[in-house]
Amino acid sequence: MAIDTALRPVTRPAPPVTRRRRRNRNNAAGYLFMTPWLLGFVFIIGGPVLVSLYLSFTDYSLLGTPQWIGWDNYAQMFTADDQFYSSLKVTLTYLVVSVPLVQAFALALATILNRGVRGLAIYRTVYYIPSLIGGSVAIAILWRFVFGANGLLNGLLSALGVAASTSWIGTPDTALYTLVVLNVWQFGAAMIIYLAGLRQVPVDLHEAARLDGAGAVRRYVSITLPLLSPVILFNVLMNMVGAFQAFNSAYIISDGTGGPADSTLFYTLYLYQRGFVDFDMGYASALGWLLLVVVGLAALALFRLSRRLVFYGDQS
Amino acid sequence: MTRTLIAKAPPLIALVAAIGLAGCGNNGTASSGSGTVGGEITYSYWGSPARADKVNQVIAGYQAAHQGVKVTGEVADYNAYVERMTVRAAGGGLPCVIGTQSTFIAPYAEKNVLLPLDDLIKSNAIDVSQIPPDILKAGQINGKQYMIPTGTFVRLLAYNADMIKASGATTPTNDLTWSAYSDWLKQVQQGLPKGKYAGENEGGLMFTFTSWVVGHGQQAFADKKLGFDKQLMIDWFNYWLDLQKAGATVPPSMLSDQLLSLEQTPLAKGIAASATRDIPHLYITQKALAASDLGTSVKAVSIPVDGSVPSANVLGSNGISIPRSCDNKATAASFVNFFANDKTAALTFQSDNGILTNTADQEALLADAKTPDGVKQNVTIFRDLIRRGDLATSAYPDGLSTLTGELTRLYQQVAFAKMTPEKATDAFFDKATQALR
Repeated sequence: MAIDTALRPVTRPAPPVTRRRRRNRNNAAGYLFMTPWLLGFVFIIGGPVLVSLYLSFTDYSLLGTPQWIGWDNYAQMFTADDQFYSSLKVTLTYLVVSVPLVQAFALALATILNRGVRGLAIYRTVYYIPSLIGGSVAIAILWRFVFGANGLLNGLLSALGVAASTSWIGTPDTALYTLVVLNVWQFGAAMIIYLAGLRQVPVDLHEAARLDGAGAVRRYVSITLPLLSPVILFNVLMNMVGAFQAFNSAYIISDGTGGPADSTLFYTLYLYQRGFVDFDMGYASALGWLLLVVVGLAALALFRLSRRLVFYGDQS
Repeated sequence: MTRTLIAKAPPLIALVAAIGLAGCGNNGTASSGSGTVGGEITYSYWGSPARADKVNQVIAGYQAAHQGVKVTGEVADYNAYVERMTVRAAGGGLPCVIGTQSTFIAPYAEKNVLLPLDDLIKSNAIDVSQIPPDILKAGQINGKQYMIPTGTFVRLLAYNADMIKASGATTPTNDLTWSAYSDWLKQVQQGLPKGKYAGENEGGLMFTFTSWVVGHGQQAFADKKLGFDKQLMIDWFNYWLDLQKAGATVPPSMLSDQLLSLEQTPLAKGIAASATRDIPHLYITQKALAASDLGTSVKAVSIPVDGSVPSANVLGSNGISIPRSCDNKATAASFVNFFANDKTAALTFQSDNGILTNTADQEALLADAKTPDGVKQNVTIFRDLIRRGDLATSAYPDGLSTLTGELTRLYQQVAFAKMTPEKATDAFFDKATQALR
């Protein structure tokens, strides 16, 4: 027993202090490498963000000194600001209409392209291009020419025998939907992600299901969609956050007014107006913080919902 | 002012950037500007690439006349310029010479961002003897000179003479009343083909509204309050609603087109036969129409008035200011003086940002063969207005930009029947209570 013990290599655990030291040394190196980013975050992002929280409780016109007013900005927002509610309504309408449409278009196109069509690379590139340029100023200006009174859409309708002279962009009932179309047109980025997700769906599952007599629709609903659900969650989340922050297209198309009659007054555009037209930075900060809370709650709700709807493959 | 479309940084990022500068306020100290002219300064202004070329030539001329001085020009689109100016002012980072406008200097003057230039004027570092006193006033806030007006703009009633002639209506005259103007628009409309309109729909335009208020013997602003009564504003909304219903103005769906760059407005595209415009815009409009072969003659008459009011041609001015934070005031003053008085600079700049205020330079501009005809026409119209005494002024208080946007927004609500004129007026007055503090 004694010999046995002597021959056997002794593998004692390292003293806890030494292990902690090594871990700390490793961590120190990590923090050292992170320092540039941490400094940038603290001084360029974190600091101003915290200052904006303070400013949201002040009356601050940028050129003067912030005056503490407590919850007044938030109270005014909810009790005496019609435009705040208009901007919320416009943003939520845009989100509810455009996000599902973008996902539907992107998923449908990705599914078609995943069937092994010839020239896939070309189609993929062509569909992706709007995502690259769709949010640009040039495209927003182009949109005016498409949906204006003398625009391409009315020209097309006239050619089809439908007399149309309305300015789709200049009419409150339709202006927002031209921006929805612009957003849907940029489905390419989501489509590429769906395409990558579809490639990961195991073929043998489809073959097994086919042998069991499952049709194409049944296989799509019972195999493809569940396995794709994490990707759907990702795309919906990103698109939803993007919809909350939509700004450029409305700014350019309405010339920064959110018109006609507040119909394209996105929340971020209203925030911009209060901050950089009215120079009411305190109120704009309050709007910014509320947006942060709303986006956070919406993301939380989506994750909660995903527990029941998203399938991660390792679940029984 | 010509407005061009630009990309904007996402507002949250811009807000954070602005907030980052918030704690760095700089009061600076007033100075007489005495000292040696030398070193480097920066002149920041707004405008097009064409204007930038002219300014660069003026800067080159100044540097040639002042050896050892380096002036750097910085140009931006108007909207971006105004935003950036405020953010830079908050951080004490304004350059030594900045382009300013009578419509937006009030907050900068009242919050001690700008240097009062009275001492520099008294010491002759800046010569204003060639600028008429009434125009010089456009750069004053609370009796102090914060801006040297270098270019003036005056609101007038512009019309496409070819369209008016084709409609069979009489040409407008300088003695129109608002009521006669309405009748005239309806008369013009009867002679126009479908898709063409007698006038733009100006119910949402602050500067036209200011002319309406002044033309009715009241003031747009007085003592940080609105200077007119509610009924006058209700009448204003109803005036344009009546014309809209009569089909004599562009339809509500084209209201947003009126906010585009000058070349894209209904008047410049030959869709509307008349609209109010600032003098420098007449030539731009004429060029846009000529480019589309839609008539080559844009003429202007005085803005309508009611009663015994002498004029509603409201005057404003672009100019140059020096921030308190400038650390080279002597050189800044020297450059401002050169820009406002040097004849070569005037001939180079060609009234690119408003009619030159310097009367001697106006003469030189008219006599110079290189001056474009349109610029000469603008100068002639302006000089005629001065000769007739047909000019009016208005205060431009802190909060004007807020109310300008609010009027546009509220009139759109009225035009699309989402709000009554009475409710819109109440909303405007409520907003004014917050904005004019």
